[in-house]
Amino acid sequence: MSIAPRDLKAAWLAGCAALALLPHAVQAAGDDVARYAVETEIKLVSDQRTRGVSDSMRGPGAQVSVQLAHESGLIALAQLATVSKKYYTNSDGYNLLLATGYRFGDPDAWHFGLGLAAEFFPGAKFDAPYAFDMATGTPTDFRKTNYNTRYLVLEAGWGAIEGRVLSVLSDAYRGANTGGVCAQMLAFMADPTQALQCYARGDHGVRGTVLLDLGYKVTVAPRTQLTFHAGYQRVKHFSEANFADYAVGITHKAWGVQWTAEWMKANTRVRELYQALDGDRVKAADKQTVVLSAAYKF
Amino acid sequence: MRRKSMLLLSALTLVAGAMNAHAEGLDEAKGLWLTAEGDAVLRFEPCTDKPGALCGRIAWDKDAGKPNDTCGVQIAQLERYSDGAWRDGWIFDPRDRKKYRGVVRVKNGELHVRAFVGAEILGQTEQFKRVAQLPTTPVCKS
Repeated sequence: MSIAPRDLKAAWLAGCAALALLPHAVQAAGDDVARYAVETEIKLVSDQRTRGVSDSMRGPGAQVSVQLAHESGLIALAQLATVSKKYYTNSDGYNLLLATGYRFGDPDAWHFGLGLAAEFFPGAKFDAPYAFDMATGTPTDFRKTNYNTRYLVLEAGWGAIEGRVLSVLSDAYRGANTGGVCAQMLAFMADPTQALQCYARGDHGVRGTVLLDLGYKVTVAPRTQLTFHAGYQRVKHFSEANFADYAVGITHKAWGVQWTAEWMKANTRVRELYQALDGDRVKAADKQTVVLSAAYKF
Repeated sequence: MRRKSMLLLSALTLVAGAMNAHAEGLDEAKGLWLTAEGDAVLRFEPCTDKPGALCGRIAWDKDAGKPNDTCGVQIAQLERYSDGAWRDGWIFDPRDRKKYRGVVRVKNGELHVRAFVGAEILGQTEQFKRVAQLPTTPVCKS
């Protein structure tokens, strides 16, 4: 397990704060109307993707999430998802997302949310050079980096249009910093020029990276919805890692299960940043695909 | 004098129109509504024990007569109608056997039943399609 103590403490405190704000664990109230709701979802996917990039190296995955909503507006989310041990080097094979925040407004008009999120990749870390000695032509300053990331989350929506802005609070964003970006380019690009230019900019973290998401859902039949998504990530100090992603999907509910087919595409600028070795061949995680999923809520 | 009469008439027409629209909105939610899954029909009508309120009950269940029969279960009670929706009441979800705060409105001819905790934003909406009559089988006894 490689969860950074600081990250774990922040998540633990956020969780404790969320629980402390719950006046009573059980619903109660004179009119016995629920004061909070808990929703659990189990999801199987043909490819576990985040922002159009595969976390499972284009293999199948599973996800379990539990969301709690309290009448005060406070919400908390815990989500466990499988990830590739090849893409997230030395990983235990799963990703844990913890989030807490506050939502308010009118679901049919303007509504907003504000929160904090942290994601952990237990066990996952890589050893990479944070500098390059141009005189000797050798990479230097090797350090271990993990993929854990903390975010500030802002949400704004109008009716079925949902917008979200995530600002990265940690020094690295899913492993992206000088060690993650420049070293990956050095390792995977045939021409080292771009990687050397990356190193020449100096050692930088990516705090302040911004992730934008825009989503829209439209009901086309009583149990069928079309979903649209457009996203953009702007990685601070590393424009090589900036990209836009798109998704269009259709969801149908049958036998209590939500069946979804979703076409996903990520327009990455430097594709080598989204590649990993699978045996002796290089596999791309950003290849466009149609993701099939089945989700059951209870 | 004639101009004053015209203005008064126009104002009365507007008020009457608004009252008609309000009355139509009030009544719009009443009737039989089929779930999206087609497994149950709800009947919304004035509450017998609460004047001015709207009640909803399960009038047909595809599992009628079976151990999990929910026929006759009251699933909603909304106290007042305002801003195009029935509000201030509760929605009972027979699947998790919990009561939530609720709001019921008709949109584009479909019934939208939203169950939530605290504020409307913290909830989920289910949509129902209007039906003229109950399916013939199975028959609900309660």
